[in-house]
Amino acid sequence: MPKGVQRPMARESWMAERLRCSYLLALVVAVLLAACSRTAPPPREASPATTPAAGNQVRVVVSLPVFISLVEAVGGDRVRVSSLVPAGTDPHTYQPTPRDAQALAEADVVFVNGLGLEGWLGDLITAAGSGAPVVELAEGLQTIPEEPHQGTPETTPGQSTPQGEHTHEHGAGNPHLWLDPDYAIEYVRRIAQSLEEVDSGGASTYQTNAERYIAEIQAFDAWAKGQVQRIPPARRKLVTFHDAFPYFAEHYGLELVGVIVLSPGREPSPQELAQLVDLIRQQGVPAIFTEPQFNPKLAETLARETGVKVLELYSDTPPTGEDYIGMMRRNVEHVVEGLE
Amino acid sequence: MLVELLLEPLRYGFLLRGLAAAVLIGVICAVIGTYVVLKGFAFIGDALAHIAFTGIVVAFLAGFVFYLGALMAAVAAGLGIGLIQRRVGLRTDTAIGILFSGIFALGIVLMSVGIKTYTVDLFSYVFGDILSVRPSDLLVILGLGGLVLVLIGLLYKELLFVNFDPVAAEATGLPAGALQLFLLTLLSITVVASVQAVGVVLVVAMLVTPSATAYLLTDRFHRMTLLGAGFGALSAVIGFYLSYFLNVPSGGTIVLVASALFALVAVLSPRRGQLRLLVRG
Repeated sequence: MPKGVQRPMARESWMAERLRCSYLLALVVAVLLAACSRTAPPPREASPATTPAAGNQVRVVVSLPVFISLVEAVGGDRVRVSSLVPAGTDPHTYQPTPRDAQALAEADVVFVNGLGLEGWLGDLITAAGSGAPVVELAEGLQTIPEEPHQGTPETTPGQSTPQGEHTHEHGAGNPHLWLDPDYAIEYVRRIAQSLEEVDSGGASTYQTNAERYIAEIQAFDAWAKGQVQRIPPARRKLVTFHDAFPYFAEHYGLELVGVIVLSPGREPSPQELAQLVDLIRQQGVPAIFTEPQFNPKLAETLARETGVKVLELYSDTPPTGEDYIGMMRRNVEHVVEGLE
Repeated sequence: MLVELLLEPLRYGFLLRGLAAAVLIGVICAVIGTYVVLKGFAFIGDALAHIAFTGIVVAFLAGFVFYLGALMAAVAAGLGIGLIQRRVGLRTDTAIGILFSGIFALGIVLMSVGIKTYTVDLFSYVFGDILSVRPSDLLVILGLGGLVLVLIGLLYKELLFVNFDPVAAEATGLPAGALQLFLLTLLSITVVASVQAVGVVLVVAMLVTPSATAYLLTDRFHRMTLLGAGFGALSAVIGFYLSYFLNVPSGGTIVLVASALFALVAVLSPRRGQLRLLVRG
């Protein structure tokens, strides 16, 4: 072929190459930008007890803010705790940042819930090259399988798909075990045991602290059960924003009538909401519970439709300044206020 | 029988409001969408929705109503787009790209700098759900829709002239710049109100797809506007009922119906051949 033909072809492939390069460059910059926008996240409510001997502290990384207070209660001044998921952020869809990888790489021990709640975490731990033991607090505990709560007879085939998705996302069983105080006690025991393993010098401290906190949880639980007794049995019915409260409901003898969205970010269909409205009316559910990190509009719409109250429950993040028990106390107070 | 079937979902107030909002937004967005499609800035809806997010972040930090923040940010951005385009001499889509990314990035940075305590999911305040339309949302859409339709009706000739023959329009002494900024402002308000009521995907689609479908069938401006409004409303109604009976989310289904209508018309349109000639130029 004469040169005249080759040259435009060469130019074309050069242009294609340039196009590919620009595209790659754009991708890289986009990824960097996305990472940068998160590199200065809000403080993770880290331990306020920053002792001068910070170098000797056991560095603990937990996945959710709610676990911070459990670890601090057991570890006291011997540990420094930070949470990967920032306060009030949804752990199902959280996107980890470079700083998270750094925290993991420097950690002495990592506590996660497990059961698929932090699906993004496995890759991150591998990527961070962290040698720290990763303790799954919910591992091996008896879970509630994730079944549809809206036991509607006219369930269409289409309904099985979203349910399947949710199950897939969370793995086996509903992961929100810590909202049942009995399981929280188990979490505390596991935390104490793991801390002893990485820091044998503090074994007695961890044991004493764990026993004390377990006693506090038990005292709270006794109070909470008394509170729930104030609700007339026919009104002990719970409708929550997402499916985080089956263990809480079972522990306190509340019937979980339904959830508004199966999983955060999954849009409900009009029929699902209509069926939930029917259920709320039929069963006389007195209130609907949202979670403060989500826009309450959908819950308010249902409440307006059915004429019931809207209140808040906390699942992943305790309210500012509260520990696990404080968070649970708020939850029980709100339930009693809403259903009484 | 059929009537009963059609009335079934309307027993619920929130579904009735959702349907009404979808139809209204289908019509309003399609009317403005005629300009959007013909002027070729289809992504302005997406851009304004994300710019509104920054407005919400600012409102959250400064402690005033979210809605006001979103509206101010979008209107300012609409004016900014018009100014960059006219003063700097860049194409509209370039101006949109610059402001979209710049202002959205500002929102992300402000959020991470400013919010140190318990955070809420601010995104969920920008992007509404058609099934959670409140009576007040419906009133806002209704009032706004009326305003947009009346203003576009009153300034119909001027807007047409200024948008599609700006040189001649300016020669005849029309305030071309002002009119274009006016259109962009109208667009900004429409997008913010619709997005926070029904969600971003639906609004972006309704701004473009019904008008584009109408474009396949006519080259008369007023006919395109009317047909577009018709397609918008039709998609809303069909999509809403389909989503109810198939048990799937409403917003997405309405968009899929609008897209299907476009595909159908593109295949069957008697004008398709002419369109291809037109594109080949």
